[in-house]
Amino acid sequence: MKNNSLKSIIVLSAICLVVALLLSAVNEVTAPLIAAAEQKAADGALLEVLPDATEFEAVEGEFPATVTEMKKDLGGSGFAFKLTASSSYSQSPLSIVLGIDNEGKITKMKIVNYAETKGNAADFEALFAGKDATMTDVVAGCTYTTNALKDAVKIAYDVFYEFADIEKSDEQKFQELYTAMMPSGTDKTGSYAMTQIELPEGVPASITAIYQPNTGIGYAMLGKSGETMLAIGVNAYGKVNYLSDLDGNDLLADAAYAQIITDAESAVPSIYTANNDSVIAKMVEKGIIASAAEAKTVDFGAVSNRVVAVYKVNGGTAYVANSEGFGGVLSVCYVFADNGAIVKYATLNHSEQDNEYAEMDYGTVIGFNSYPERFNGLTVDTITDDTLLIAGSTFTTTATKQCWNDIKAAYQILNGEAAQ
Amino acid sequence: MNKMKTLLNGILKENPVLVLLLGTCPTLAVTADAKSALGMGAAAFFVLVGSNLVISLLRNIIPDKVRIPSYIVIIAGFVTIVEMLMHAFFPSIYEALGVFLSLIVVNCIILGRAEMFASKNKVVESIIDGVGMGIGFLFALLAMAVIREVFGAGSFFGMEIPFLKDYCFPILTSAPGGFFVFGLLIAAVNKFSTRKPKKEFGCEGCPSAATCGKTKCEKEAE
Repeated sequence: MKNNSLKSIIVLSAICLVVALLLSAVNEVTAPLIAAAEQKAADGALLEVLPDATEFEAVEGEFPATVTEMKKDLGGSGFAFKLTASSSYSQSPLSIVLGIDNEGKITKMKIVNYAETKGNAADFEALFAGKDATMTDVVAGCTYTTNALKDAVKIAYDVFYEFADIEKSDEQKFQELYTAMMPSGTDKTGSYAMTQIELPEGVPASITAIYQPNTGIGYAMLGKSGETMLAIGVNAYGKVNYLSDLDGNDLLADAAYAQIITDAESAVPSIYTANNDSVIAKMVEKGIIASAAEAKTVDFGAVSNRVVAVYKVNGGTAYVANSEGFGGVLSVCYVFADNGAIVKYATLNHSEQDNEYAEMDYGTVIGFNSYPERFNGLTVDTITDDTLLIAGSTFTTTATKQCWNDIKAAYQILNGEAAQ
Repeated sequence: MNKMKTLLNGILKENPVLVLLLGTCPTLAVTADAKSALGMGAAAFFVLVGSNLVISLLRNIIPDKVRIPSYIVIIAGFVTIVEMLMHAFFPSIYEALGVFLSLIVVNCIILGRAEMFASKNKVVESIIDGVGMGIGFLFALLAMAVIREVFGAGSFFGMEIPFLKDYCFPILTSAPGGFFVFGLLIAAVNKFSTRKPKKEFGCEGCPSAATCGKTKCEKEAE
């Protein structure tokens, strides 16, 4: 009996021992594979946004609160970010995985947690793919969620350029200087819709590219002086009011760059003439002036705002300002009599999508309907927000208001009053 | 010839799932799609053959008193090996099987074969029995999974079937559908097998009566 028990113990222990040895041998083989697979799963979302990545390494640094993680692909295909953003709209914050390649373009955005309207997340992912730091034509930011998304990506880009150790391309640097070059040049979404225009004949070689915002309120030029690439902001009249290198160092007052200013200004007239002719034609069409010959261009100085033209016309001075309405460029014209009273108002251009407003409300010359009549006889000093009666709740009314404010400023400058 | 019979026994006459009604829990749990059923079947097959082999080898060494703990340790060893290998090489199937993979340890088919067959038969027969039972289990699982996946999800091993995709019965992939298909399969097997279920339950009605010594022992005791 005793013998039997002893045998049982020995056999069972031996079996356990052998099994344990076997298991440890197998584990020796599989453990590293399992660890690698788990790491890969953890990086799965990262791999999804950066499909060419081989191995991720965390980038260390003090990140803003929305950037929870930044990882560098050791294979060199780019960087992956884990972002979190509260939209202040729903309880659950957005959780985003973002891949940015070495050129600063978004390879893919993956919204991991999205508590808002179902299905929208995929639309946003598609919108952000392939965009760069300027985020042109992505989301307008009309909702909490789009704002949160946009901000989170913007912050990720800040971190990207700070920590990724990647030089921005000249084009990117130039685009980022749009705000400085064209303080009034944003479109309705607050981004910069610039169109590159063909270099007119006779433009000096130092000007390598000319961009114009859709509103036509000036020009952004890329110039070159020696080896230095320069960003040049030119107002609608062809006056340079911004000059810097691509790192944003102000060079406007630097005598060494006087030549490039001359070059930039000499590039404008041919473009300007065409623009100017179309503005005058519109004024004739809308009945502000009787014939094109009546308008005499007034140069009101190097102010880069929405005012694109000032003309002496019969019975006063006409100010034309452009801004971006809902469907496109909004262009308005105010005529001030010599005593400062507004005598004529017209909308020269209005988005085609809601053209009925142009005819009904804003559109016609004073005396034909209610909206322009409000201005009749008022001066820049007597027009208040109450008389303007534009809350600015829509893109177009905001644009109308912007135009008025800039015309007011231009009027005050031309008439020696301090702009308020 | 006898070996052939042993092999076919597991596949048809004593199919562990559809005739012996063993291993019902994993059968219902992992047959929602064919891929995980195949993984489960293969894992159980490997464990069955392996444990049958080892237990048969050790059948004269293992003392009767500690045979169940010994079987469990051996089976658990094989299950853990399968689990580690699957985790390392087939992570997706590993994920899909989840806890049911580790639960092969207590799968009564395996312990049943160890106790009923491997502990009493020679190595070669035991391996053949393991292969037969393994294939039987695998086939039953696959049959069930294919039915559930094709008609429940409109796909076959993850590949979509164009027409069925739009006209499937999603309930088949959930638990009630599992029981339903399981019942249908058992009914079909009973219908087409020559052996009719006995009205009375007892050792005579058991499909394993031939290998199990209980009846014989009792008769001898009488």
